[in-house]
Amino acid sequence: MTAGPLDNGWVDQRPTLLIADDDPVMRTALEAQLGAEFRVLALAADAEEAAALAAEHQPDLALIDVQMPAGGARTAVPEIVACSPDTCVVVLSSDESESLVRELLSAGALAYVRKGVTGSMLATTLARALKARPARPTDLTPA
Amino acid sequence: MTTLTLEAEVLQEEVIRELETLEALVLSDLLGLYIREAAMHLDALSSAFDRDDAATLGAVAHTLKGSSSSLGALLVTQSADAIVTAARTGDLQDGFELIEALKHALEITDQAFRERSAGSR
Repeated sequence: MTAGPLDNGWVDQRPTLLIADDDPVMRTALEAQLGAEFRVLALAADAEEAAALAAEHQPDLALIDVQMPAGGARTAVPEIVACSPDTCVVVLSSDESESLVRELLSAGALAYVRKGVTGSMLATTLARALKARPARPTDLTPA
Repeated sequence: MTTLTLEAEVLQEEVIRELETLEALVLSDLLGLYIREAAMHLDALSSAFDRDDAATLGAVAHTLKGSSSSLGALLVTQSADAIVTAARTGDLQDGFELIEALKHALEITDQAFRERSAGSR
């Protein structure tokens, strides 16, 4: 988990989060709903920006809308997995087909959640996905 | 004789109740942004319908459906979904009526948000 220092010297232990959605209403709503439990590091409006911001910030979590410009989650998910391998990617779907969701899970997304769930359900899903994230391999090489 | 009045549900109570836990100013800004964006989507839908542009109709209605469901705007979600379905099948025969229904749903929803906001003060 990425801990961030606060002005008052305390360390912010909230998991860090990248939100990617082309709809400004969704970006604003998600940031407001999830801001209490997650430290929102960046907001992206398309797949390319999402991958660039993930590479820059290495967030604990990335919440990625399926349909976005520049290739949507089909492009964003594998790029984020490649450039920020410790990031847990969760896909935000509307009414996309099951086969597309399966494809995204195969590409490295750990979970998906449907738009329209309450903020607390969304936060629970993200927290569960973070717990389910495979542990980073420990380096056992002798010094 | 008993008269039954069936009223369509405008807002999704569970989602709205959670949104109301946000700071009042944050919620007010969010709902204001939603209504402004929805009005722009409505204009885009009307233009797309005039051009017989099913792809744009579907894409814009899909975006509106997503934000509406996240903000508990149930009636708008359902109206937008009807346009998504019509655009997907290419059957735009009822397109004008669907867009008018969406416009009406947005007006009712805007009013419902204002009433909730006034009631929670």
